[in-house]
Amino acid sequence: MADEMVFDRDDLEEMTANELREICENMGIEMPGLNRKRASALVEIILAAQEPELAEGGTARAVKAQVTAVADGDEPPMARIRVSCGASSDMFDVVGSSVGEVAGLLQDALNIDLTAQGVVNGQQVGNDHILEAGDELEFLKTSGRKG
Amino acid sequence: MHIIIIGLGGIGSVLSNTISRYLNYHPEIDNVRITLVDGDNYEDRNLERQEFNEIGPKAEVKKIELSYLFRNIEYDYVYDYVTEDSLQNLVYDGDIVLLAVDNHKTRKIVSDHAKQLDNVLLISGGNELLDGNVQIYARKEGKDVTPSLTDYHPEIAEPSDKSPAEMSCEELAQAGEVQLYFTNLSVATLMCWAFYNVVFRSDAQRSEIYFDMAKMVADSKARHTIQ
Repeated sequence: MADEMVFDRDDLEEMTANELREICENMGIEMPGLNRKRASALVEIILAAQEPELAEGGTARAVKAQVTAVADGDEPPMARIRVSCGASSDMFDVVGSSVGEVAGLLQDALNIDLTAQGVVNGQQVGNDHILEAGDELEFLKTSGRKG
Repeated sequence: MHIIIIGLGGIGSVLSNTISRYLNYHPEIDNVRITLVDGDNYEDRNLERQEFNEIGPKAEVKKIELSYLFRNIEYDYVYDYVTEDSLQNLVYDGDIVLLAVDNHKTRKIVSDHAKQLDNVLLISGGNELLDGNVQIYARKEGKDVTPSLTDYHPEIAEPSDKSPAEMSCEELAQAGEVQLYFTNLSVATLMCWAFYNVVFRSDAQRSEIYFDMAKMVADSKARHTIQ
């Protein structure tokens, strides 16, 4: 791929991790562990490297500093949100997805009943609610009946 | 302090001992009264996961047992299942209810009754075979501090089961399902966490705790109240 191309977030988010790594390589981005990074982290790294004020100035050191800042946290800050169902929980790259989409995506991982009510930041929401950075999503699990 | 323990099965028979021991020897707590409520009898089939010293009516047997062990606490008992009517003369403003029953119908009845009180703490626990949860419903000065048992649980708001008070003798005899002692113990312990945090640390930030023994995890939730 041509290294002079400028990608927007939508383009990048449709690419595979391997395609994103190829772009990083063509842009001359080097950092430890690049080959192990997930697609969402690579997207943030590429976008940071494309920042106009950095690129136009041609200051490779500044570009590298920006990219390193993203890479230091291993994942871009706030890009992953906590999703839980009952006692099970984990961090997932679901910012921008709807609650209904996440239920389908994580149905097996978190044992989510597809009819379960979504709760974002402690408030019940509909399936079309779009998740934002910093949100916390819970799918309600039914109460234990016996005792 | 008046505590009502409703349900003396696998959870409640253990919880009543644990709460009693803690309060009996607490240096700053006196005038504790505990009412034990259950309409069931302790039988041979309960031996593997319920803690009683002898066969007989659970509420009465446990009252005798705890009165002997914990002399600083005043005990009484009700040998009956709770109903909307009986709750009117059982749970009053300022009381603490530890609910350890085996059906959602009773959870709804007790939660609805608590909602009519200005100040009350209701801690309810339940389990399946290997997992379970504890809900904390606190009201202060006429307002919910945490959600009621029904707010985030439609299966409790519209229960499909019956309370034992509504069941026939045949239904009661068939009601027992396979449970694991360790799971009951986990619920009892988490109810103690809730009790300690709310009563002794004034912390009601979290309104529900889930655990899963098979995955060996537990997680608590903070949710908004629905006024």
